[in-house]
Amino acid sequence: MRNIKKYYLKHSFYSFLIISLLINLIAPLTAKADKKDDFLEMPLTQLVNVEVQSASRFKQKSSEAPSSVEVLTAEDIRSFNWRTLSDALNAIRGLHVRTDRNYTYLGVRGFGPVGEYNSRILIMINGRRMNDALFDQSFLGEDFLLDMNIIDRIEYIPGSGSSVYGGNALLGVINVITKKGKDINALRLTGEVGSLDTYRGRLTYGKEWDNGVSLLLNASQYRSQGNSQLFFEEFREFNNGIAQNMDRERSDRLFGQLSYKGFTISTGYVDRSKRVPTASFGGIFNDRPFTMVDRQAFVDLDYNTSINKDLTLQARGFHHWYDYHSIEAYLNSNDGISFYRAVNKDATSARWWGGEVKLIGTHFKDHKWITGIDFQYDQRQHMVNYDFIPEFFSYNNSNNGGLRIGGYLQDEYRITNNLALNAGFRVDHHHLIKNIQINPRVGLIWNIKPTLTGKLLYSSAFRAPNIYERDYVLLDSNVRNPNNREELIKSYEAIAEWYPIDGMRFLGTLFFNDLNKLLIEKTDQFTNADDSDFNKFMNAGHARSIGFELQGERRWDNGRLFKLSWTYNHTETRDDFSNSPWSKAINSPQNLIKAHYAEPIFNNRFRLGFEEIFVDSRRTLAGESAPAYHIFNINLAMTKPIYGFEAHLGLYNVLDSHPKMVGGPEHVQDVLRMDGRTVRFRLEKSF
Amino acid sequence: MKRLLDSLKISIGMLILFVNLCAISPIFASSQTASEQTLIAAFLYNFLKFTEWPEGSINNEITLCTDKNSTFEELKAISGKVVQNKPVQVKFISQSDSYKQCQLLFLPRDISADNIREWINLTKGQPTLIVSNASGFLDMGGMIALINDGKNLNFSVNLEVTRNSALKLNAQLLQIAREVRGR
Repeated sequence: MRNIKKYYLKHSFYSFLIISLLINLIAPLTAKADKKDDFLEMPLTQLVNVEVQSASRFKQKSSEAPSSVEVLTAEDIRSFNWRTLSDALNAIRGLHVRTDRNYTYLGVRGFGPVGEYNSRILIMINGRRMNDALFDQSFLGEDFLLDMNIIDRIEYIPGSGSSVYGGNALLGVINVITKKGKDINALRLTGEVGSLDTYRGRLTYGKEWDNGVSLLLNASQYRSQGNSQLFFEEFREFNNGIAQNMDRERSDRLFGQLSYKGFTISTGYVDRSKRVPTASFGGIFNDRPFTMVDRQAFVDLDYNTSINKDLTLQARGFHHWYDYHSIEAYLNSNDGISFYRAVNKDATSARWWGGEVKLIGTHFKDHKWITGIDFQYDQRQHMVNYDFIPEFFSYNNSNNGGLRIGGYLQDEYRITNNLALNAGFRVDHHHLIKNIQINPRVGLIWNIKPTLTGKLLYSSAFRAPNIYERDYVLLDSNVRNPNNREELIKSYEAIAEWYPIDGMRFLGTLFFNDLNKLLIEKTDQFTNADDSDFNKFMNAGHARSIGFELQGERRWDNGRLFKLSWTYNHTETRDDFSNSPWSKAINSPQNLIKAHYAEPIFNNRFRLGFEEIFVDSRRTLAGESAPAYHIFNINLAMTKPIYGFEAHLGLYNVLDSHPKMVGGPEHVQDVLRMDGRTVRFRLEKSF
Repeated sequence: MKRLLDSLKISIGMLILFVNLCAISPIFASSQTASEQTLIAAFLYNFLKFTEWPEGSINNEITLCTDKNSTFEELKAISGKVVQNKPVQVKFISQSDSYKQCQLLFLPRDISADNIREWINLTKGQPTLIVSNASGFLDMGGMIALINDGKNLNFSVNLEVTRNSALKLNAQLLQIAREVRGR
């Protein structure tokens, strides 16, 4: 009897939800027909007072790009209130985010190996490479250089992009484009509070003067206490498996941008520290000092100009700083019998600078060519690892440095009115590998009809070993390997894009990625007779991934958005150590389903955003399966200030689902349980 | 399951309550908004109303043209409307087509600046009103520039160019314009 009642309740609740959503969907549709006419009949004097919606439906015509580009706009960020870049990336077709309460990692189209630091994705800010010079790491969480409020759009270009961008663009390129001074046009103070004792304060100033000078400044502080108690079954003998106050995070950020005519100078700074509750890397459980700190700063100077009507020049110079350190207590032993507590510091420091020159020409009829040279001088790639308690003992002190330089040429040739060939190649030299790298890309783009485009793409890409894979000595277990070489990928993709009406887009892709010579860590499980127990990175991995993506999206004039995507893939890996046959890849969800729905309400004063992310089960290192999970988020945003105030309310993981993330080789835990439902409230005041 | 359901209900219930509270609050007086495309269509429609073309340059229909490469569905709303006692026709043309029957030519900013310059040169001296939302359009020699300042849409006029093309703009139009050059 009680069951029936429960059923009834459940159904009545869902019906209520569905009906109210339907009403929301239909009501504005029927009202819309006469609304457009209204504006036509409106006198000019009134027309000049109508507010313009930011017209960002499809900012760039992605049907012409040699890829299946996905763009998230500032409006999307507002609709769904993504807290970090990783939140936003998790909303994109084919991407899935993994966290381990330390860093955030991105899996692409089913390939998301553990024990690495996003080095197979190229991340850029305003078109400039941001992967650090040591780990080639992409920082995606609170350790990312930008606050979400100054992001104008996020472009995701799947597939290998080495033919233009050089190393690391194996699986995809993420380009984050910042807002300009005029997009803010105010002084804005922001306060944010949330569950788990989370606070953020922010000051933003943006202005464009009549003489064309534009300025943007942003400063923020983020503090989160995190879970005061986290339980880990695996450490039940220590403090009953409870990590007490070990989940804290803090992040400070600065960003500034000044532009005048073709010149732009940008500078950014981030200082983020995270306490690590998981006792990874052999740490002592619930031992307070275990913290990782990442600091970065950069200065970029850009210059854009049109030399003549057929030739555009872009030039850039930059300097980048990155320092990381971790303090960790672990049990050390001199004889293997008696153990004592030692505290270890692992630290790296990198400085690099570089520049690039790019020319875009349209001299020749039916051709658009791009050519460029870029270089990065790794001035300092320093790593140290030592114990300082109970006594100083050095395990690693390595220095490296050198030049990375590349040149590329790409041409877009309109063979006929509706057929274009996009071909290019890039030549690279990298100081950590011996051979010159040559990577081609060919794309055939066929506009079957004005609303329907088909694309066939092939490209290859490389990734040089990073300093971590080359020189890292972890305590007394890892040795360096100066013999490792570049990783390679060949990617094949077929795409169909259909724009039946303005604002509506359907996309289908079919992809095959073939990765070889992957750098994987040779650990105990691979040890054979002729080698000692030392771990090292070797080019011994192979992966292949085949799958498809389907996506439908509609953006209405009034800001309503509906978007649904499904990615299916079959990803397998094997390694040369154990000579094993192909087997299902670690941390590879076979299905990813994402649904987004945003609805403007009350004359577009508010926007309600619903986000549903489904991630399929993933194989863990122990050969188990981490269960599939749903994340459902609801966000209510004010889209127009009232008396200068703007408020946002975000409910994250409303279903309180505690997803289980796959642990890496550095973890004792096979899976890591994540947070349940959280709430964030943000208030902004503009002056 | 029940716990999940309850928590979901509570969260959504909270939201609905919040939304309702906001709705009855009197400070949310409505102000109208529209997409830039919709507004542009409305402005162009008004320009058709307030422009005087030289005698004999209009046949049976008033024709509004735009570049073929622009996907501008909103313009079709003007098609069939009656302006100055003549039905409006909307045409998507390329530079090789005859533009001479166009009373108004709209050049959206998403076609390149070079393209826009070519159009301006091509139509120089012709009784065709050239409108664009590209930045710096008046400096290129355009007639009416639509300006999106991030909040509203407005326009500036270059009378020198319209005069050379024997077009007369209604005084009311000039009054509303943000800037009038060559008065």
